Amino acid sequence: MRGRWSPILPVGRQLKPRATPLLNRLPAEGEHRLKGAEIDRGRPLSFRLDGREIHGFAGDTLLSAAIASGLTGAGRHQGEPLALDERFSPAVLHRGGMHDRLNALPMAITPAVGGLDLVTLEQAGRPAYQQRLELLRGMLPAGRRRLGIAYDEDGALPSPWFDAVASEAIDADLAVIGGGLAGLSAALVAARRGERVVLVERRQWLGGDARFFGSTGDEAPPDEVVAGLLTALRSLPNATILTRTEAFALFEGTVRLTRVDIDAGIPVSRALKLNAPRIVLAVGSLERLPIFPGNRLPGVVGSVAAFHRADRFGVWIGRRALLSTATSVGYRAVMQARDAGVDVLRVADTRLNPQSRFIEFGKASGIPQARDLRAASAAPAGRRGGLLVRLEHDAEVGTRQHEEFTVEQFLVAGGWQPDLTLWHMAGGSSRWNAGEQRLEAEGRLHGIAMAGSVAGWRNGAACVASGQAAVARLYSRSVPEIRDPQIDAIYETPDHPCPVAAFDPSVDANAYLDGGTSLALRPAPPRRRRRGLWELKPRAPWGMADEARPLGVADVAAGVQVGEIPPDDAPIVAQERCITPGDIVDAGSKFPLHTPTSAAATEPPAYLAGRFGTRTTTWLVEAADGRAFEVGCLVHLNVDSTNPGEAIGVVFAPAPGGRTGGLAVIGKFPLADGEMLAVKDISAAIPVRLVDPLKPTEERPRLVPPPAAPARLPMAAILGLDGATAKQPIAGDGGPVPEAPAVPTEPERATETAATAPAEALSVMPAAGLAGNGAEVGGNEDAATGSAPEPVIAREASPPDAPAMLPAPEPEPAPEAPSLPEEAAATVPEAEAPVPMPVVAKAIDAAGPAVDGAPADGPPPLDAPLVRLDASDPQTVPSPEPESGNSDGKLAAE
Amino acid sequence: MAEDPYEFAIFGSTPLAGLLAGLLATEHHKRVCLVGETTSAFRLPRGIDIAAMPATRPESWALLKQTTPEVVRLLGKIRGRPGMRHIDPVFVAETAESVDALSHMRHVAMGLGYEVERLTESEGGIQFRLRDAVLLHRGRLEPAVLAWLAKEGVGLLSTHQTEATIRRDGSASIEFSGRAIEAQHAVLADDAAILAHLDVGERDRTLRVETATALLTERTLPLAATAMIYLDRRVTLVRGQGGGVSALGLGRTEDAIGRIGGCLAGRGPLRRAGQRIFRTIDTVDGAPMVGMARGMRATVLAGLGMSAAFFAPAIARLLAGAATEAERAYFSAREGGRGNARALVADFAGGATVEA
Repeated sequence: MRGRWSPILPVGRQLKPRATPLLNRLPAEGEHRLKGAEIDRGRPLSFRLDGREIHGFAGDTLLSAAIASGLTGAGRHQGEPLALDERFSPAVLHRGGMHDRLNALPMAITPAVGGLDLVTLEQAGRPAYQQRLELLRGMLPAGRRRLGIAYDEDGALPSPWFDAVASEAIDADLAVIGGGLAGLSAALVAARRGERVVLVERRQWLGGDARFFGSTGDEAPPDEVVAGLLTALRSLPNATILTRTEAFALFEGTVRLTRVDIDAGIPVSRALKLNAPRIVLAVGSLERLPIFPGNRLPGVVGSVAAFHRADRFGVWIGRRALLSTATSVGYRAVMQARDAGVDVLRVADTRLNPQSRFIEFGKASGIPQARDLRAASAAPAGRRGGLLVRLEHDAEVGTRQHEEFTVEQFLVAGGWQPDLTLWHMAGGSSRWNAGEQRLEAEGRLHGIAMAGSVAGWRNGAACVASGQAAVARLYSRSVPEIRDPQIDAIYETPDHPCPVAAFDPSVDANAYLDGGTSLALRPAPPRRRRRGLWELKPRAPWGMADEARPLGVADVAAGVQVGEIPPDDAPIVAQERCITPGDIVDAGSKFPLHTPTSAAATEPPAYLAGRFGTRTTTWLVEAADGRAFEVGCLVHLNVDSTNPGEAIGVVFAPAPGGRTGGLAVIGKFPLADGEMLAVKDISAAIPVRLVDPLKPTEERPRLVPPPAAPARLPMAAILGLDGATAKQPIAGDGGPVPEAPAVPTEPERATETAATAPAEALSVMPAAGLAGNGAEVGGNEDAATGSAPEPVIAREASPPDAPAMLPAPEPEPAPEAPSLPEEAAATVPEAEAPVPMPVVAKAIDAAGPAVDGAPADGPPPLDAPLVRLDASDPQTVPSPEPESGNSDGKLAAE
Repeated sequence: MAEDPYEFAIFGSTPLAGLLAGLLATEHHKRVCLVGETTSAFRLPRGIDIAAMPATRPESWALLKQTTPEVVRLLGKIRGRPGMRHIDPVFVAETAESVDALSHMRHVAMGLGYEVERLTESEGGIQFRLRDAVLLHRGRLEPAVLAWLAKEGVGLLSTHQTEATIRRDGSASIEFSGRAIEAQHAVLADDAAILAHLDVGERDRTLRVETATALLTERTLPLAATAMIYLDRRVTLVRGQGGGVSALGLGRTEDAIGRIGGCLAGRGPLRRAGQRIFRTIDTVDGAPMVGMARGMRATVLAGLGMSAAFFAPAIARLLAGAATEAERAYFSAREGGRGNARALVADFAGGATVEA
């Protein structure tokens, strides 16, 4: 029977694999319009998809041919069948090219070509035996109706072409996204100005949804308008039209496209980039899917999609149909289907008392109609296919009073949501229209203008005019006024918001928020649930927000309607979640592999500055058992002290030269070689001995240093209190370390040797406002004031008797002094010269003019003039990432 | 017609802002309004709230240890438990500087009674796991907090419907849906509020503005821990209950996304489910900043990091003049306008900037 035309066959009649290609086709004969404008019934073809033989005609897409052949299911989701649809169809690969998923083709825009052997992306990823099983399954009746794909619970339908690298870049003066009335008009007016224009249209035909909407009043028929625009556009050499080309990302003058071409007779997909400083978004609106259980079963079709399938490809599922609509224009599809021989059992209008010319036409043609009736649920009618649809009146919710119909195709019309996907991606804002229950664009973006229904225009003439206006705006010309007259509501009842069926716990079927790729479900209301005896705490509530999936703009609108998304949040949620779900790639990080702290480190890190006071020294701490201390171990006065707040130092580096212990910065004064302290290791406090102080660390102006300050001199010597050693470098600045001399004489004080008693040391006033646990042990009592900017010599009390300890070891030859930072290595300046500041402080100084926030003498006067803050920030906002483009709209606009 | 003035206007949309407003109203009997926007669970979080931080200052940890139980008790009282859970976050350091800083953190935290274990060291760096830290879920917490605020008489003003002017003396004039509202003292409690209400010249020099990217992935393999903080990559990952990962990356967007990808490497194809680019504020010296703005007396709260919400009780006491001596000392050392003196309270400011 291949190639022979035959009437529509009843659903359920079993067909052999090589059956007529017209299972779901409307007849070409008769007084009706739904004959398939794109197909050539004289050129039948067939191809294979996951092993199933699909029959079609030249002009079909893979999708239209598949549905026409009876393949109406895309697979299963959570165990329930899922419709194959223009907005939801799996990507396919040539069987010979399964190794590269970037070659995948979108079914809805790929032309059907005879002899192809195609595999769905999901199937291509399966082991060979599963692929064979699928081949067998495809021979069964149920298998012929539905692909054997199980969609993940979470995650959007994979669209691998989003990740393909653009093979070609196209430059234009103006890019027009969308080939409907508004897009054609915009392209034409710009091309006539001499601009290089590229128009991009997803479908293979132009005119958008104009044929579906028809004309209003004395408007010219849409076919005439489209033909006129197209003819004029095609006559201009500077205008390029790309059909079967989908724009999926938009960012700062660049549009990412995926296009299907025929190359050597084989469909191939190409990734393109379109660069244009001006872009018109004329992408139209999405038809909302009414929300009810079973709203995406095979056979449930949006009214626009059903119309285009029939109008362009002659495809219609079965012969019995039902329409549930919240709009008047939804009636058009079924009226034309009825003319083509489809039995329309009922039109259920959700509006209470709808008035429309379409309603009158429908009555005249004998279509049964009902008002205030909405879809309650849909379920598979049985093994032979078809749907069992329940309709209910609002007043009957919960009463089990409803009407039931068994049909093959259930058309649903839920109203319109402007397709703001690319607008949001580009950084555009939107707002929630509570009256119409939809998101609408708001504000402006530089270089981007919207036109047509996406901008809110309704009738055909207004869409055409809006295209011209968009171009005028982009070129800073005066924008013509646009008139969009609507028929009075008395005669044409406005569209209702998308219907949402009441939740019925007895119906266990998925209710999807939209018909797109996200598969987002309406969550069930939270139920009270008794906590089991074994549960210690209540389970956290689970909501739609927890699902890790990108959303469509219609999902967001539906989410607001079902109460999941606050209306005020809807614009931001749409910006954040309606994105191109591209891959996250490990771009590699360039940083050195982990290496231990440099053994040459002698300076503690900046974040330890002031931690133990302004005057600290660096010591090697050694434990008797020869252990090495981890960086971060705290140094305490004794083993009994464990509170980190009482620590007097910390190990900041391993001991140099391969020694055990660790290098510690300590803020106790004075300290002597051999003094015993404690280091808190992870498990215990360990007694340690101080060895080899390498260099002092000071952050305040110093006194004149001694002429030759050996590494192990007491502090008095280091500070040069002998008076004869001015302007000499301090030990540790790179020069050879001399042997430890006798303790120098301090003026006015008795001379003592270091071996017999610790010299009285001098300390410098601590910094004002010191915080942290600066341990100024033995410091001057005036240290608390800390107000004097100049160094003050304070007398320090004699240290207490040292606890019993091992005798101090003989001084060992000091290791080669490590190099110091530049500022410390310089000759110690005079006391009044500025001291080197910690690195962090330098960063603060460099950050801006040295003006403190608050005046030193108090807050600003209360009678200071009021300052109205300008919320705009001169700091430029960094550009969003090219692949996704989602950024804070407010910031982008600043 | 002007209403009775509020004593405090808290500007912000984070848990810190909400808790601060509520504590001022309930514990300190102040008349407070909160100017912010709701953060529905659908929105990508622009930060995480966890009672742990890569800080090396013992006083910071001591304060956190003191205030965290207060916050937990409060959330329990206001039915906020669904927004709270106990987790074991993992901190990852991959350069010598970060490893040392984490080691410092570990010793300080352990000295104060926290359990911090060092995980297996690998070429990829060192990981430390901190036991039993509290993590807040903003989306789930917000309804409880808002209900509590409404019950306690805190004025709730949506950012979308307000226009606020903050004067040099720190007072605020707010236009909200046609109503004129005055507040005696404005507190800018989150980054968005600081950016919205302070010009560059009014921000303390300690503050720096950075680009940040919030990313949500589709369902993927579980992380090694519920929360992972990569110090050198400047990435934070939190596993969501839906199986996806919420990621925050600092720095240029392209680089941040690449670094996030690096942290999630080895999971097979990983796809985005949401993305947001925004600006965030941090301090150059790693220490929090709690104090006046430059040239004006509005209070600015910045650089408190991932533990910000848990400092709410102490900050509320500070604002109400009821802070303990230790709290006062802590915050006064971290005020703005202190210039180089802030170096004495500097903390680890993040690892080496790693460009992907």
